[in-house]
This record gives sequence, structure tokens and C-alpha cells, in this order.
Amino acid sequence: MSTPKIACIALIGRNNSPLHLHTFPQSPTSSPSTLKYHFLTHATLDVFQSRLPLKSNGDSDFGLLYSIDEELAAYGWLTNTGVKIVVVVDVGSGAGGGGGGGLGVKDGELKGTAYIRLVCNPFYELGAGGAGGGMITSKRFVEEVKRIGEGNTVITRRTAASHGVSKLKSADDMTM
Amino acid sequence: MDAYPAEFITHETPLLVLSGLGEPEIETPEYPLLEEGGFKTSSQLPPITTSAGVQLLECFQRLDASSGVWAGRAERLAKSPAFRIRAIGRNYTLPPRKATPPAPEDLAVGVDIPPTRALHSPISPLSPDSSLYPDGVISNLWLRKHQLLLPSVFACFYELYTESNDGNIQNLRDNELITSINAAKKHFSPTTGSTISASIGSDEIRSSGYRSKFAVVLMSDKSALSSPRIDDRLSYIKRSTNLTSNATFFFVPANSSAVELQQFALNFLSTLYPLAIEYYRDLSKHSRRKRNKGSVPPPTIPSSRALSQQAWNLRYEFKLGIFAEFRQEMDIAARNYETAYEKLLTEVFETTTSWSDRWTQARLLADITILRLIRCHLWGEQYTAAKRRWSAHVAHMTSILNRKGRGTETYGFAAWMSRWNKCLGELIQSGSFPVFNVSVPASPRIPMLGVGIDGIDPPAIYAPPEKQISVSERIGPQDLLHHAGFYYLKAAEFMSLRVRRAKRISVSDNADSYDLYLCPPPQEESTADHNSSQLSLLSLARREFDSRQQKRMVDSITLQIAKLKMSKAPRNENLWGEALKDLRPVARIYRKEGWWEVLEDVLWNIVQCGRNAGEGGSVVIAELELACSSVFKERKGWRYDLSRSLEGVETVKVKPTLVVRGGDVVSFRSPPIQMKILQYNTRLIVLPFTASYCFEAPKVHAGDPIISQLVISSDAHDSAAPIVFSELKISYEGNLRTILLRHTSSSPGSDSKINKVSLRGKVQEQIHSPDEPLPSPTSIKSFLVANTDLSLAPGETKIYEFSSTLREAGDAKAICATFVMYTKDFELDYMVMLDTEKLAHTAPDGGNGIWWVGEEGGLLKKNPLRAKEPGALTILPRPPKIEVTAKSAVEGELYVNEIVKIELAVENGEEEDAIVDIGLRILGWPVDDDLPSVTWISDGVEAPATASLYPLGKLSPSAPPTRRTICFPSPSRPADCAIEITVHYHLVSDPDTPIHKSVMAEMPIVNPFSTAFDFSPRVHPDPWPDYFSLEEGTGWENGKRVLGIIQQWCLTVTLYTTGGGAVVVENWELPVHAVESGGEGSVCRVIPDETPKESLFLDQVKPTSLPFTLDIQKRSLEDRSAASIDVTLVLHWRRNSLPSAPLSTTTLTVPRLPVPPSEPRVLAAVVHPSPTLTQPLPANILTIRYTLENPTNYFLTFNVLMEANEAFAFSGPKQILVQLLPSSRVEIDYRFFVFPVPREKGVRSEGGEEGGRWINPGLRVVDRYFNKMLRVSPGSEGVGVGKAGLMVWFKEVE
Repeated sequence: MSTPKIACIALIGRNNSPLHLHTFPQSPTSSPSTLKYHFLTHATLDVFQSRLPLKSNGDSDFGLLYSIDEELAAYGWLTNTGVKIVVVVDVGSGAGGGGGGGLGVKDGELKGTAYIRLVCNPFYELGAGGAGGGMITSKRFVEEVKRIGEGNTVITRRTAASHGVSKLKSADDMTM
Repeated sequence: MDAYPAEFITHETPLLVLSGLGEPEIETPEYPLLEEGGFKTSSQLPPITTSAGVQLLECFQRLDASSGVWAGRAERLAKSPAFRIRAIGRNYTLPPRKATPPAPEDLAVGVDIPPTRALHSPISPLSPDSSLYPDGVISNLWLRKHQLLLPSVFACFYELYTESNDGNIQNLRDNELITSINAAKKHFSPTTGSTISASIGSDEIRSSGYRSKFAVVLMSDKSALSSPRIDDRLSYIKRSTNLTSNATFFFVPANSSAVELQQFALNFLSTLYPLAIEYYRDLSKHSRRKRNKGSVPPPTIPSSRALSQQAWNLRYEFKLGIFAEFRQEMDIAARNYETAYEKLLTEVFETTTSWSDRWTQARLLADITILRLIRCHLWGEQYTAAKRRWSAHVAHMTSILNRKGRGTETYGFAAWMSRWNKCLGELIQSGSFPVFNVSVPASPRIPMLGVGIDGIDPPAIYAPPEKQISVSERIGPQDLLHHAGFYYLKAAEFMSLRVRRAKRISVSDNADSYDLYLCPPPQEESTADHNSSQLSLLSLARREFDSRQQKRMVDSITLQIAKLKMSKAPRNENLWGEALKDLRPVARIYRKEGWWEVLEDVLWNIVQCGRNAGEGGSVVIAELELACSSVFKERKGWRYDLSRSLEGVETVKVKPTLVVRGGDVVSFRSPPIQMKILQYNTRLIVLPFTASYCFEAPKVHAGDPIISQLVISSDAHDSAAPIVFSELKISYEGNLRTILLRHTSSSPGSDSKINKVSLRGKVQEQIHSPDEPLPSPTSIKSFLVANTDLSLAPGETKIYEFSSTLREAGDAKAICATFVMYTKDFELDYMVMLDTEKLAHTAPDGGNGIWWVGEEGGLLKKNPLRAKEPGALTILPRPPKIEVTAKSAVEGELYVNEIVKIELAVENGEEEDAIVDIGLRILGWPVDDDLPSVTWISDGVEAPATASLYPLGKLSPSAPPTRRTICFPSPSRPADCAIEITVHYHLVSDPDTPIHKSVMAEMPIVNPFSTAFDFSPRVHPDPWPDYFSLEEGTGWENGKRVLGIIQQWCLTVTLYTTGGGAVVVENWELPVHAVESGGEGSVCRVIPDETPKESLFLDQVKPTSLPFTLDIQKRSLEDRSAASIDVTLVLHWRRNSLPSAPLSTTTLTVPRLPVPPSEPRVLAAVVHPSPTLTQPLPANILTIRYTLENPTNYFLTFNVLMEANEAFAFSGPKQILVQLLPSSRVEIDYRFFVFPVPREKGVRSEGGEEGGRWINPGLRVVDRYFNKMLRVSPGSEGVGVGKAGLMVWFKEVE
């Protein structure tokens, strides 16, 4: 039985081009497994696209996009700038412990990861300025994503929620 | 699911056997001892073959639910009957109840033979001949028995004999029918238990002991009308067979219509359905009883191995589940399956020898039970429960396999997982649940969120969790049932895992160490080809995703399919091409959305496929893209050399010609195959080089040099060979000519990464061959060619600078640059759109363009270009160099009503002869005046007026200015006119380029006359009519007597000119236009001046007054109303500077002249001393004559008082009383002695003016009767009205 942990965080620009993709644990770039996540996150765009008409406001939680198999599930957010955030969560290999052991992640818990929005702030300017060409290369941004991905593996539901709220608030302060 | 025996997974439906309808079945289901020990129901009576019978059978077949069980799910939920219907002709064999007793030789030696052998069903684990013997749990045969052989209802169809009406024959036939029915019925009559067991083997036994329901349907060919006894006969048959009407006994009347037959079939089924349910309920009861008994039944032959009590219970539970399913009671079935599954896990798996056949059977049974259980959940739309059951089974199996040693790392497990995923997919698909329905907006999940754009919810990716699940319960993402595509995809994934694992099998491996559950042994497995099943799974998944608009998922599956085909391709050459066809569209979306890492993978695959399939074009394009270093990683050891990319590829038979447009379409052309064009819809291709085009300045004059730069920079990998273009063509829109650069290899230049090549003046003109299509319809036919080095090393930036000259104005724009490569293997045309193209990976820099400054080979510097569109150029018209001057003949403003003369001078400032025309346009002309016709005067000769342009002819540059004069009359009213003189010309050497220049001259037209009018009364010199001659009047109007008193008025026009030049007025008139008055009207005439002046000289300095004397007379003496006179002043004048010019005539409007009503009035006039005086009066003596007029018919008395004044002394009556008769007047003279005023230098006394001053004599004239003071009006020159009343001009004498 394993705790749910983030397997991959991907940021996708408004024109569906990848801005950043980080897998956990970090594997060397362009290994077959990273490529797999590329395919996975790219395919989630279908769901964004099909659900988009139902979302009236720009900044939306798309919730569970789909679970890829017994282990991985993809969750999505759409920011009001059209940037999509996809988090692939490893919910633990199967129901190894039997019963409901491996069925860990609740939506509320994952919303804790919404504080990725915090790190979006420095990059909004980037995204607005550039025509959306390349990947994000800001070191600080990469570090932050990494920290979140690794950090969330141990966050329990309650702390995640409080974390999320406080982080979100600080994010709000920053935008003010 | 096809891996499992069909019976195990069939969805249960009550079985209805129709005897007497249809053909005998050719194939009967296999069942042990069916022929030997089965109960045969037979009858001599033939099956019904009438058309009604055939129709009825068709009706039943339509209602048959054997195939699409799930399709009728909605009706089943509504408890409408659903039967699996078998029409078997006439004869039918029911399965045997008991197995044959074992032959003695079969028995093992030494086993005690029990005295009474308990015989069991041939498929029971207790029967030695059964495959389950001795310890199997259940086999598919048992299911087959209930699904296909043992009906819940056995219906016999007979035809009532109606061929003749002979009673005897009918009775005979009816009795035969009765016998047959009874014989058939006996098989299903419930008998007591004792007879069953006691008389096995006896031929006497007639009943099978099955409790299947029995029904009889009679059909008749003739109606009751033609066969009157039919009712009696029916009731007789019914009685004799002990059947109940409309419950077990049915009659189909003759001549029933198709609808009636259909209705009958429906009614028949609904009547029988409860019976069928009851039948299965009885079976359930039987099983439950056996389960509850809790003892193991004795086997026919005792065995050391036997099914345990728990296993028996499992068997019963499973059976109970099946029977419940027959009854469509899915929730009950689910409970039974749950129990059965638990018993399987806890008992059977633990007690059975691992990996034995029985153990494998138990696994199979476990799979089956769970599948059925999932189906029960799905039936109730409990999607999450279903998915959880499915997952839990995986977990159980994994743990069991791990415990039992062979683990989950085997190909067998992968095979099972693949199958297990596929089963779930198939279950979901076969159910066609509303949640996953793509067309119907079914999902009730999102109504509160509002509808989407078109009101249709997006297709559901996964089913929402059921409401029954409490909130506290955690629902993981993997608990949600997704649509079938996901499971097919997963199945394919496991299939590939299975393939990978199978590859690891070594020949020496023992089969025992492998999990062989539903799998071939390792040796077979290692050689088996699972590609096709993988492909079919992927195709299934792709179809599901595709129907839900998950296009990107579809593409990623297509990529997997392509890869599969590639792995298979070494054995089948065609697959390379097929894979390539799959890959091309896949690449599109990744390229469009910029998923470079994924695209890289796809492109390498394209290269591989293209090389093998002989599609050289794909290879070249893919390699071109892969050379792009900013987005793709460099592959180690790969030779990046585009020109040699097809070297050594033997499969490419046809030299490909590729035309790649940076915009939308890429077409493939292979010239030998009759220009076969394949559409290759690539939006744009990632290029390893970029091209941009800039003009130095956004605007340039025609004739000036246009300098532009084409910058191409390479983004190829460092190890790549330089790209050498054979040709590079720049096409423009507008007037610029296409530039074609041809490659000539030059000596290797500097190593600098930025190189500038100046092609100024190195381009030569060539003409397009006529058949060659132009890049743009506006392009010019000729083009420019230059030879230069067109190689581009990795990372290099090359700047080509051009200079050209344009003669025509207009806009020009660089449209596209076409890069052409001719190699011995292929031809490539790549068009880069220069105007719209923004390559996805070109980093946008701040400016819109870059201009490279520096010398060729020298240091280069970037300068930003701020033009909005650096690739666009506006060519302004050539600046005209012909000088035009226009000069008016007169100084200052032009006056109205004169002839305007303007002198033009045109001088050719060009370097060569020019043919010149002149156009004139007068602007701002007063609207109600017609535009004047212009006369051209050339050297004093008038040229005829021309409508459009005045040809000036050829002007040579050195000649003196050509002069012309234009004349036209000016308008009659002032206006701010302007004259626009446009010179149209073209050079003799360049007749195609019209040049024009406009000169605008202001031409204000003013009225030269400024006027002031004074209209004052005068004393008429003539005597007033007297009382004695009044009737005669003064009449001088065309024969009509005019009687009124004549008044004299004086209109004094003060004229001066406002224009620059002095004007001489030679002549003037004052025509009277109208006299307006009440009563009988008035007449008016202008009294000509006694001493007419010759001419008036007007300038701006001195105003000149021009008095006109008017006499006005009413026609009637009694008419005292006011009148008004309309006159105009017509002046004939010329400019003082042009004494010889003809006179111009200007008409000036005069304000309406008011004549007040005839009332008593006082006029003051200066009386000049008569020249006849012998002694002149002193200088400061002024004589004023006051005339009191009484034009009324009353006798009036006036008090006249002259007020004393400081300025003068006077002589005359100080105060007198004047009495005036009607129509009379009196004159009173005063002589003023004006006191001299000592003048201070520089100080002007009040009221003083140059040469004199005004004095204010105050004469008060009061009408005594009305006590009204009369105003004194001026009556001559030198008298005016000021603020203090009447003023008299006193001319000071120095």
C-alpha cells in the first residue's frame, strides 16, 4: 500500500503547447517514461477541449480528467489565462492492500496542489509576452514545481487543505 | 470474453421451445447422453407449414432475445417478456436426467460396489463419466442444459384439421391431435418423486420429471364460418387434454393478419412469461433446499477425492445466481455470485492443488463469477460498484498468484490482464449504457452547471459515482468506470507486455514454471504472434475514443498502431507504407501544438518507414525537420545531411519532387507517374532555417534605389552538413520583380557565423517563360537573376542585400521565399511565406525587423527596424521636377465681375524632354454661378477652350520657361477661390510613367466696393398743391392723375474701395425696382443730377459720396401710409491701373429705403448764401431754414422755440406760434453766429472734426393740440442727426 503521490506536473499553454513537464521521481529527460507522460498529458487536452464549453469562468477546476489505469489519474485546472495545469497522480499500485487501502486521493486533497498558481505568477508575464513558443526555462519556476511535486507526497489531507488555502491567499496577495 | 466458454458468459434468458413450428434443427447442442438417454418427444403430426404458421414463427423470431440480450434491457427492466426462443420442428429431445450406470469393468478393482447405486445427472461431479468427476465444481454443460436444452416452457403448435367438413374425419383427426398432445404433455407433467428414482431405465416411464411448463397452440386454416363446428371441437380438445384456455391452451384463428399474429405472439409470451419465471423459481427452490440440507450427496461410485461441502455450496450458490439471472432478478443474482466468489476464494483456491487442472477451472469460475457479478452491477447502473468488483478481482488474483509461486511477472498474467481489461470493455460496450452514449445527452450530472454552447454535454469520459455511495466513502479515481476505450487500450498494453515477456522465454524453460491459464505453453507462446490481436484491440480503443472526440488520444493510439505495424513490417513490406500513412496525420497535431519531444519520436519513425517504404519525400521532409536543433535533440551517430538523405536507399524508385508550402498544403509530385498529387496536409513544417525579409525604409520614391535584405539563418544541429540550396527565389506582390538566386559554390569564406553578401548591382534581368505560372497574378513577367553562394552552415546567418529601382508608384510586399534543392535523389521546393509566416519557434524580438549594417566581410551590426511590416514597401510616385508658377496680372485681390488673367510659367526641371499637359481646376467657386470657361492665350493668341487638358507640348530642359495666360471672368459675388494647376507629363524616354504635379494658387475674389448709405428727406423745391388746383394734381404718371404731395429724399452712397487696387467708376445708375406702399400706391423717380460728374476715383483712403435725389409721390392725397423703395446701384468701373481695360459692371444691392407715413414734420436745411448777395456774410454766419410741413387735412398749431446755445448766437424768432393749414408748409429762417473756439494745438474739441465742427441748434416744435414734440429731421447736406438731436456742420474758417 502506498500513499498517493504526484507522478507528473505539466503546464500547457493556451495554444496547447507544452510549457513545462516535470515527472517525479525525476528521470533523465526523454527517457521512455517521460515520453509516456508526454503522451498522457497531451491526450488530456481532449477532455479540456470537450468540457470547456461548460466552464463559464476562466479559472476553473476541471477535476478528474480520467484515470489512466489502476495507478495513474490525471487532474486538470484551467487558469484564466488559458494555461492548463495537469497533475498526474500515482494513487499507488493497485489496491495492493485489498479493500479500499489504495484508494486514497480525494478531490479536495488534490485541490491542495492548486497552489501551483503561486508559481504561475512570475510566469504569467512570460506567457503574455512571448507568443507561446518555448518551454519555460526559469530555474526558479522549475525548482518550485519540483518542490511541490515532491512535497505533496507527504502532505496529508488536512494539511494540504490548509496549505492550499494559505498558499492561495499569498498568491492573491502577490497579485494584488 | 471469447476466451471463456460461451455458456459461461451468456446472459441468461428463459428458454422457450416451440414444437411444431419451423424446420427441425440440423445441429443440436452437444450434451452427454442426449441421444442415448434423452427424453424424446415426438409426434406423428407434421409441423405447421401454412403461411400463417410461417408468419407466426417470424413473429417469434423477431421477439427472440437470444442474441441481443442487453439490447432489450429497458424492456426487461419493465418486466416485459424476453425469451430465448428455439423453434425445433416437431421432435425434440430433452436432456437425460441421469447418467447411465457405470459398467462394471470401469470400476476400479477392489472397490466395494455399494448395493444401490445413486445415479446422478450426467454432468454432476458425482457421475463418473462427467468431466467434473470427482471434484469439479461446475461445467459449462450445466449452463448449456438450461440455456439451450431444457425449456422453461414447451409450446406445441398443431393445426386443426379443417380440410373437410366431414364430422367423422374431423373427429378422427381431433383424436389423433389429442393423443399427440397428451403424449407430449406427459413429459412435463409433474410426477411424484418416487417414480423418478424408482423406475430408471424402464421404458414405461413417460415423464421426464422436468417441470417445464407446457402449452398448446392450435391454428386453423379455415375460419369458423366455413367450419361451423370449430368451437365445439376446440373445447373438446381442451377438455380431453386438460388444458386451460388462454393460459396453456391457445387458438390462432384463421386468416389472422400480420398485426394480429404479432399481437398474438406478444400476448402468448406475456402469458407464458410468469410461468417461465415460476419454473426458474422452482429450480431455485430446489437448489436452495439442497444447499440448506448441508450434506454431500453420495457419489455413484465412491471416490477418495470428492467435492467438499463448501464446494457443493459454492455450486448451489452459483446455480442460484444463474436461476436468478434467468428470472432477471439481478440483485439476487449478484448476492449469490458474491457468496459463490467468496467460497471460491476461501475454499476452493486454498484446498485445491495449485496449478492443477481443477485449480485452473476454479480460476475460470472465479473470472466467470466476477464477470457475471459485474454484469449484474452494470445492469443496475452501479458503475462504481462494477469497477470496484473488477479491480478487486485483479487484486485477489494478484495476491493468489504471488502466494502460489508463479507470480504476476509471467506472460500468462499479462495475457490474463489483457483479457480481463478487454472483457470489461466488451461488457461496457455490449451494455450500451446511457452514460456512455455518445449521441444522446444523457448524463444528468451537469444540469446545474448550465448547458454548453450547443446544449449537448460532452461525451462522458467516465461514469459518475452512484448516489448510493456515501460521501464519507472514498471514491478513488480508479473506482470510476471509464468508457470502453480505456480498457481496450489497457488490454492492448498488457498484450504488448505479454509479447515482451514471451520474448524472454528461453527454450530450456520448463512449462511448469509458467502460468498457463488460458495460454499456450511457453514454446508455443514464444513463437506466437499477438500483433493482430494487439492491433484489433487498439483499433477497438481508437474507435471508442474517436466517437468521444478524444482526438489526441486517437492520435496517440494511431501512433501505437503504426509502431506495431512497423514491428511487423520486416515480414510484410506493405506495412511500412501503411504505418507511414498512419504516422503522417499523427505528426500533424504534435507539430501544431508544439509537442516537440513527441514529434521527434514520430518523425524518426517516419524516417524509418519512409526509407523502407520507398517514400523518399517523407524521408526528406522528416529529416529536414529533425535537423532543427532548437526543438529536437541531436541523435548520436546520425548523419545530418539533407542532400544525401536518400543516398543508398534502394527502395526509392522514383525521384521525388516535393513542393512544400509553408502555409497549408504540401503536395507530393512524382513526375513519372503522371503528376500524381498526394495531399499531404501538414500545416507547417518545422524548419531548420528561418528566412526573413526587410526593406530598409518602408517608403521610397519611384526612381530611388530600393535596398532590401533577405536574412536566412540556420538552426541545424552542429554536426549537420551545410544545407546547400540550388536556387532561392523571392517573390513579391506588386511591382517588384522576382529575384532568383542561383547557387555557385565559392571558395570557403570566413568562419564567421554571420555573413553578408551584397548583391547590389549584380542581378540581371530575365524573362519568364510564358508557360511558367507566376507566383502572383500581379507579379511582373521579367525577373532578376544573380549567382551567389547559397550554402548555409549550421548556425550560420546569411544576409543577402539587394538593390533595385522602381519607376512606378504602388505597394510592394515580399510574399514568399522559395528554397529549391536539386540533388540527384530528390527535388525540394520549400516556400517560406514571408508576409504571414511566423514560425512557431522563432523567438520574437522586440522590433519588427532587423537591419544588418556593415560591409561585406566586415563587422556587422544589428539595427532594429520599426516599420510595422518590414517586408512591405510603399513606393511613392516619382517627385515631379517640372516647375509651374502662376501669377495674376493684377496686384492684390481679384475683384468680382472682372476678367481674371493669370500668367503661367512652366519650366522643365527634368533632365530630359518632357511632354506636358496642363489641367486647370477652380475650387471654391460660388455655387450659384456657372464655372467660367477658361481661355488660354499663348503669345497674345487666344486658343480655343479645351475641355480637359491644355497641351503644352514638348518642353526641353534647357529652354526658358514657357508662358501662357489664362483668362476667365470672375464671379459676381465674393468667394474664396483657389486655382489648381496640374501639370501632367511624361518623359520622352519613359512614356509609360505618367508624372503629375499640382500647384495650388489661392485666388480670393472680393467685392471692391464698400458702401455706406444715408437716406434722408429733403425739402421739395416745388410748391405744394394749393386748394385751388388740387384736382388737377401734378400727374405725370402714364395718363393717370397723381395727386399726392411729392416728397423729396436723398440717398447718399458713400463709396470706397476695399481692394488693393484703386478703381475708377466711370458710370453709375440707380434703377428703381419697386415701390412698396399701402393705399393706391406710390410712384418714385430719380432726379438726375444737374451737374453729372465725369468719373469717380475710388481708393482705400478717401470715401466718395454719391448723392441720388428721389421724388416720391403717393397717388392719392389721402394716402398717408408708409412706403419703401427698392433700388440697386449699378457701377461701371475699371481698375485705375488698367486704363484701357473694358469696363466691368458691378451691381450693388441697396438696403430697402423706408419712407415714413405722411405726418407733420420739421426739416432743417442749410441755406447757402445766395451768390447774388452784394455783401458777403461774415464767415461764421450760418443760415438754417426750418420747414414745417403739414401734409394732413387738419389745421395744426405749433409752438416753436429756439433754445439758447453756448456755441452760437442766433437771429430769428425765439418763440413763435405757427399755424398751418392742411397741406401747407411754412419756412422759418434762423441765422446763427457761431462763436469761434480757441483751438489748442493737438487737442480736438468735442464734436470737432477736421475743418469744422458740429453745432446743435435746439429748435423745439410742439404740436399744440396734441402737445407732441416734432422731431427735426435733416433736410439738406451738412445737417445730420446726432446723440443730442439735430446737428449742423459748421465749416470753420481759419
